[in-house]
Amino acid sequence: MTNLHELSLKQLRTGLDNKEFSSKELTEHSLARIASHQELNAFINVTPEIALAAADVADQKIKNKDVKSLTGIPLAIKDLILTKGIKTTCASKFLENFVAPYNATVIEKLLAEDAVIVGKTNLDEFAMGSSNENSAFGPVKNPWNHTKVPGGSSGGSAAVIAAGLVRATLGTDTGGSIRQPCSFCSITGIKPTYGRVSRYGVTAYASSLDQVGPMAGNVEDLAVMLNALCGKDPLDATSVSLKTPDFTKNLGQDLKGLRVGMPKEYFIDGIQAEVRSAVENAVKQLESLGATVVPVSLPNTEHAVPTYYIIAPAEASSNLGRFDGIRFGNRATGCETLEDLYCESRSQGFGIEVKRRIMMGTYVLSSGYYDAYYLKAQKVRRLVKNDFDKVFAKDCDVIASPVTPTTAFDLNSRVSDPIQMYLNDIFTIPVNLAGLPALSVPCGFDQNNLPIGLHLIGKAWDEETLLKTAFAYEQSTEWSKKNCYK
Amino acid sequence: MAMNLSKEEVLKIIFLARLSTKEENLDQMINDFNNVLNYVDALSKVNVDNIEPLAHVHESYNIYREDVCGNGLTTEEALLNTSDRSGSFIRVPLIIEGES
Repeated sequence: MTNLHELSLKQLRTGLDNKEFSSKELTEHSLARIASHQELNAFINVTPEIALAAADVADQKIKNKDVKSLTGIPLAIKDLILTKGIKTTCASKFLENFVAPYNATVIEKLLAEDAVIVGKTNLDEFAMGSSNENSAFGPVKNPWNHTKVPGGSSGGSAAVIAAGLVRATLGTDTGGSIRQPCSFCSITGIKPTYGRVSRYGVTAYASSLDQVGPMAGNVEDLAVMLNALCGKDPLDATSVSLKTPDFTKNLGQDLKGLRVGMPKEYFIDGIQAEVRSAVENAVKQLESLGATVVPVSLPNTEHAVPTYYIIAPAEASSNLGRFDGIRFGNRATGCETLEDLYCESRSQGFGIEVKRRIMMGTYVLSSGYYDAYYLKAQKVRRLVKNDFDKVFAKDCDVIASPVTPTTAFDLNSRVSDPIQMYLNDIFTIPVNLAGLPALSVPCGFDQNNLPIGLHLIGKAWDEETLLKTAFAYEQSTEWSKKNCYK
Repeated sequence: MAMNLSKEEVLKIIFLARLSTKEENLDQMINDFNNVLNYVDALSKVNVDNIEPLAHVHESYNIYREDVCGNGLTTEEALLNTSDRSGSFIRVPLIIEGES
């Protein structure tokens, strides 16, 4: 049973259903690997008792042939997502001891599929960051190279898959927080169309951009996870009432007739040469599989990052207003006035990047600056979305690009320069501004053996074409088979 | 358009954001704030004549439902995470002047 961690979700399903191993054995294996990989710092909280109890229930169900898609399979959850009875810290000192009294809808959905939750993964505090270094519980190490960042903000959720601790996880993506760590860790992850997945119980960072999505070791696993997560939720007014297709259905179809757009604004100077060539080779591979490649232009790409760093902090400053230290979270002692209590509780509890974004958001929403910054950014946001609308209306079905300009960077190399850190998300942020689905799939390695991801962006609600394209690519190359399991 | 905000101006924002003006790294925070502000100011050059603002990617509309009772948190659950409670209340510093 030493290689259980190398099996895909599909193989695990077969193995569990054929009684080749039990959920208890699988869960114990996962917990043992988690325990022997603590140096990654990828988990904030591991929950062996809860996991083993769930595994026992799953084994009973398997025995009774009462099996759902994830029955008995260990998963880990980004610690931004509320789990009843299990601490949810958001990687913030403010919520160090917070235990949610209810589950997020996505957790209810995973539990309805009888998944086994083994713990909560590390992240950038409140999902604000691109390196997982903004965590009150310390940075996560990249399993491919422990001197490198795993990406962020869903860095823990990516690292635990890359290290072979669990097969699939939940992440969240506001500006690239699923796709960028997937690219840095050589796994797959999808940000669904805005509104596809409920955000109820997911700690809000920037509500008009946030979306939950799955992360996994391969595209088929990703589709299985996505099937479990989607659907209208009466508890989230922004979730959309659309029938959820079976995302595994089109996997294996050929790519004949598929038009792949290559935006010139995403292949700019400053991209690491190996990243550029890996992505160009991946596009050639799509061409050899039957796709047609067309050059496209998204002229407002350069405005996306500054637009994001107005809109996201504005929404964050409003969302994080609820952290007042009174009903939950850190409460400062010795404060005589309510105002002091608010200010001190927040100042003690929040890290530097969170403070930075709350301040920026407060400023751009403040009287006298609202029009110049926030309203202006909302208008530029429409320009960014119009660019995508135009090319998807007439030129192409998917867009291919790098996920990030470089491979994983050194720990501590960018923390003191927020703008350099922000620019890391230059290719992922436009997608959130436009609310589109996009995924990352492994497409190579640089000379230092650091992973490179192919970014595929789709039309709204067309995750199926994205997954079909990524699956065809993955099956025709060896990149996803390479691992760094120890 | 942007210029650096003075320390006093940034302190005002810190207060509006309900953070502490007694921060340890105040100078660094002010410096970072001004750098980011100058960076996002690139948008001032973008022409947005006749462009409507986009607050949300999907059409938003009101959602109505019947006013019926549902399950919510119990008082105990709602008070589970507060650190200063008194019975079924949360204790806070004095808000309204007068007899306490």
